[in-house]
Amino acid sequence: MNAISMLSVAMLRQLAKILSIAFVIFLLVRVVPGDIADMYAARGDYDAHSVTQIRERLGLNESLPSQFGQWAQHAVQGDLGESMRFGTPVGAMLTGALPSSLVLAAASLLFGLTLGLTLAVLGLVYPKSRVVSCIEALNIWSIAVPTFCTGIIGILIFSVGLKWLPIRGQMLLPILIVGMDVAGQIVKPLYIELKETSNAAFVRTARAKGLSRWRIAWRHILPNSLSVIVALSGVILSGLIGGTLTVEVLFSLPGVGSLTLEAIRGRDYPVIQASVLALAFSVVLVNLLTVFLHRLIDPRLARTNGITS
Amino acid sequence: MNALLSISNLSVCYGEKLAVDGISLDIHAGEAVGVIGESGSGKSMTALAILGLLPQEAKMSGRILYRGQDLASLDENGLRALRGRRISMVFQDPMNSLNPLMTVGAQMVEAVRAHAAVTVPEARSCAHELLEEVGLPQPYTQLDRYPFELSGGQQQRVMIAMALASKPELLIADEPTTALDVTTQAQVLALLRRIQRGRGMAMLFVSHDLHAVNGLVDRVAVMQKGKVLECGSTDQVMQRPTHPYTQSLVAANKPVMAGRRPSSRQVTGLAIALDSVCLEYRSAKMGQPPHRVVHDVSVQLREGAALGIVGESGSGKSTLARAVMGMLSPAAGSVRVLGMDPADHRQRRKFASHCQFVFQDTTGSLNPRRTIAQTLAEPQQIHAPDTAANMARRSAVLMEEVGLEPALLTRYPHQLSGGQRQRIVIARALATNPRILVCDEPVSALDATVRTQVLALIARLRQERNLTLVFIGHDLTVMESVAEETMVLKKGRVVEYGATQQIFSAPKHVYTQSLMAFGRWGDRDEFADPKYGAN
Repeated sequence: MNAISMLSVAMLRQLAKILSIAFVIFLLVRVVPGDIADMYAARGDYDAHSVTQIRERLGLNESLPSQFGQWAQHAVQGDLGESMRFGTPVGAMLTGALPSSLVLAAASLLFGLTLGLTLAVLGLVYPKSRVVSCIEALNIWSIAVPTFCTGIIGILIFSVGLKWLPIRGQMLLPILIVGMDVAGQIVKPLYIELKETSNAAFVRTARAKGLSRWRIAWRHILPNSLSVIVALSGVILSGLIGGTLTVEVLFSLPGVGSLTLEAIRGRDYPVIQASVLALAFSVVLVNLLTVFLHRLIDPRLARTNGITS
Repeated sequence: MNALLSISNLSVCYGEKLAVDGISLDIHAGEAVGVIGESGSGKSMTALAILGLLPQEAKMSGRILYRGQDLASLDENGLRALRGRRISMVFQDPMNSLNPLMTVGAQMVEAVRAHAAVTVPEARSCAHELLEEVGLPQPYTQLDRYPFELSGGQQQRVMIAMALASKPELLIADEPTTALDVTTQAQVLALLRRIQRGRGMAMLFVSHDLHAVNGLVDRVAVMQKGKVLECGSTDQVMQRPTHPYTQSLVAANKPVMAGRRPSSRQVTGLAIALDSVCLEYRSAKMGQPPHRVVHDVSVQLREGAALGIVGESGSGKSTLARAVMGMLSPAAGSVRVLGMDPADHRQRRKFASHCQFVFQDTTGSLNPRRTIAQTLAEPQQIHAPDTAANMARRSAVLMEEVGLEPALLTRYPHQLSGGQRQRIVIARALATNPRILVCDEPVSALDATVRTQVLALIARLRQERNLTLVFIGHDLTVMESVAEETMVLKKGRVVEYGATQQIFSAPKHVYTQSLMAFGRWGDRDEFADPKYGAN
């Protein structure tokens, strides 16, 4: 009973968050000078009269509050409107773009996590080995080398040179490239956290029990450092869903990133609003997921509700 | 007779400091040996060196022979075969020494399976037996609990059970009772003694408290600055200490200055007046009634007087202090400090300049990124802003007042010892020239000798500045030397309240009597008393 009411309050709060993001974005896109009618006019195809007609047809001449009211009313019912440029339903455009974005984000996060975790734990168990310099190198790589650079080099080697992969439409190379980037962002903080945790008193207890270094690393040190990964992954994943733009463009993947960029260029308000809304939604979702994961990892968090001090 | 463990000429370098300086010590099979010394004497380093658990920065030399095998020259794999199997260890802080994310059962099963090829269910039933042996109530339910759901004493019992998992020949206990309550301390010590005798196992017991090991060990080695000063049978060391340092340790537990008379003080107005105060914490869960921690406490404390509040952890004594400091509004009743309402935010600054707090945890209450000079300057900036030079001069005076070199002003908290940090915390509280000082267990984390010094400092400052003192502690004996009035709290209710001398000479309540017994147990007979053995 209590849990349900708490959950519904939490959900309402998230919904309010999404709504306010939607409102801010609605205002922001209209603050940028020039709407779609101006774009057409600038191309020289229309005269002043027909520009006004377009505005009227699209409802752009109405006041901002009433525009927002209409849009919100439809959006709440699941109707995100039509693209001002193409006349296609925005919902369909989004569902076309989302899967490839989600697959790319999820797969590269998974690959990055696996790589980063393995390297960090290896570095912890064998502190004097070369793994530690690998960790440093990967971290600097992810900071210094942008993904579009590695993307182009990857295309040149694997698609143009070796002809193993097609240039367009394949996911393997983008996943590897973005995944490496993710691994680089995760590996260093995780490694430092692992080293910090290995100074904890319970690790000394584990050693005093006579456990092997691997067991201590996997069962005792890693679980106690996981909160760093969860927090970092949350931020990274939210960034990845809309932020793999350069890779999408490079490999001609129809993702949310390129959809949004095209819409912004063409002042296609409904598409911008819808895709930003989708991104906001996924960020909120990822945040909820992180909170849930934190509780799953740490029993102390999960039980604080039941126990009074 | 050949020793089970023979340490010879062991030295440990930690950074640039020689933590252990060529010590030698023998432990025979079935014998209990105590190593006593204050923090920094190298006693813990010695204990850790045996199993090769020293921090990475530490370097050691010398020989540690275990049944003729030199542990100092063994590699990690060789040591692993002995750790937890032949030689086990119990650590100081059970809360942090247990993995917070694993259930008690999982950690015990792991310990059992580390050295024996058994299945998980077999290991679990073995864990159950061990928990029974250490007297943990309802062992089966405890197995599925997490360490944070157990009390400190229960956690330490789990640690001990885990150390016993594969029938070790030697148990090393590194200050196993330091982080525990007085009553729990007695129980854990009695348990260790029972198990050590029962199993005929050898034990190395490391402690800063000479009196704690009195009934526990056969022989005692007293350490200071990395060297063994004195080593002999417990009786011999306790009755006829030869080294001056040991003599001071034996004397340290005696009261500092007994029989302080309240009459010497000028009678003025009331400093603190609590009128049937009830305090509660809001529950984390919505819709649940708040959790009442303190029931109906009334106090009237004259200016310049000192009140000691005693009780076990969870008795509500710290909560009461929070209410006096205005950090918590009373749920019922009224709190008046110097005529002001402490919880009134409009008078916050004025109140803070009159009433200051001394914390227990000196590491946590000093900002690690600020030098001592900055720490001491801050309250002055708020309450009596002056030029930087004048404030620095005042800080130096404060340092001298609490018995520290002004040269330490440039240091950071981590560069100071625990006793020095406690003095800094006191100096910071004095920076606003307060009339009331509330001390929350200021000496509980300190060694016996340092504790005596800090208590003497507090008594001196009180005299000089005519401070009103509220002194919170779990140790009744400390109150005797500090406070004229003592209040004994149990589960948020006042059990006994009156003049300290009266309470000491004739404790009325059973609980007070038991507290006094635990605080003063020097007799080894008290260990043998079966009622302290069980939980």
